Amino acid sequence: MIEPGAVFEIPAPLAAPPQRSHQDNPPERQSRWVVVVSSQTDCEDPGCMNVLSVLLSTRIDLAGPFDVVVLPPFGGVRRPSIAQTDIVVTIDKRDISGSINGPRYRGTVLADTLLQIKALLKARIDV
Amino acid sequence: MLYVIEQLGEVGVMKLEKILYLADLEHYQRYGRKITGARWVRQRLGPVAKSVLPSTRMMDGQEISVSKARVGDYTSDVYRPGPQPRFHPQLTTSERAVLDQIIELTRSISATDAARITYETTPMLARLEIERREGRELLNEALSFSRTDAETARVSQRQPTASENDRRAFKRAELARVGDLVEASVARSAER
Repeated sequence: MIEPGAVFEIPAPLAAPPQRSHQDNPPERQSRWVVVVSSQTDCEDPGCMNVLSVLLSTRIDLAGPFDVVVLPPFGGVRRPSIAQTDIVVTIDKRDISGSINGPRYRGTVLADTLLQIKALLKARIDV
Repeated sequence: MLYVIEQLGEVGVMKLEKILYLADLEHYQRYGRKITGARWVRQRLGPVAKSVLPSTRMMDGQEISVSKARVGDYTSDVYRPGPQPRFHPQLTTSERAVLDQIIELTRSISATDAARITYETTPMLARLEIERREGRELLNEALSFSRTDAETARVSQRQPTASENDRRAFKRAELARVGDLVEASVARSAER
């Protein structure tokens, strides 16, 4: 099961070489952390193969109006980070091992942080 | 409050307040109501519930033991489980789950770090936005947990500190990097 607000560490690139995407703990420099922003329904629906996520970065010094601060230890982050709501990525559920119990799960952000992320996303698409 | 003290064994007043605030906010956002029911106000070191201090005085020597301890440059109240509890916390399943989550995550961080986290929550960001507008600190003002998405989006927008050029370069580099992820997702979809 995946839940909204869950943070996963995913290898980048996932495609080359193919076996890299199956490693549970890829080297940090070659992995990216994302926060799942899809609805609970989409997270749980086996027919929905992807989840929407926003990219995390530790470059908090470069934070701007589209970035939400995530402070450790929430979301499993080890350093102050930003969730970049202007960089939305579609992730194949299989690439995050499909579960918050999976080896790539790092933590879950506060409900309030997820609310901030979603509010900024909604503002960007004018809903 | 008693549950947090029992779980931690020993906790200073500032950290206790921040844990209770984060748990109250988390429970409110998930289930629509606070755990403590307390009225949170903005103080210089973050959110404070005015009801915490009187209730600790009533429980001192029974459910909790209050002592003084040196924390950095000042003396602070420290709470421990007391010797003669007259009652035990009655919590719902959701309240206990949220408290356990916040306690576990904040167990190893300092009171200052916990306060820093509260400063990034929507109620505090909203209060700080008003303060920026009015050009003064508004201490003792209530922190509202309820607001519309549009209000949340507005108060969540950070004032950039880096130059426009630096931020543009950063975002361009980030977009280039996620290109890999998108291509991988497309390639994996084609495999199905």
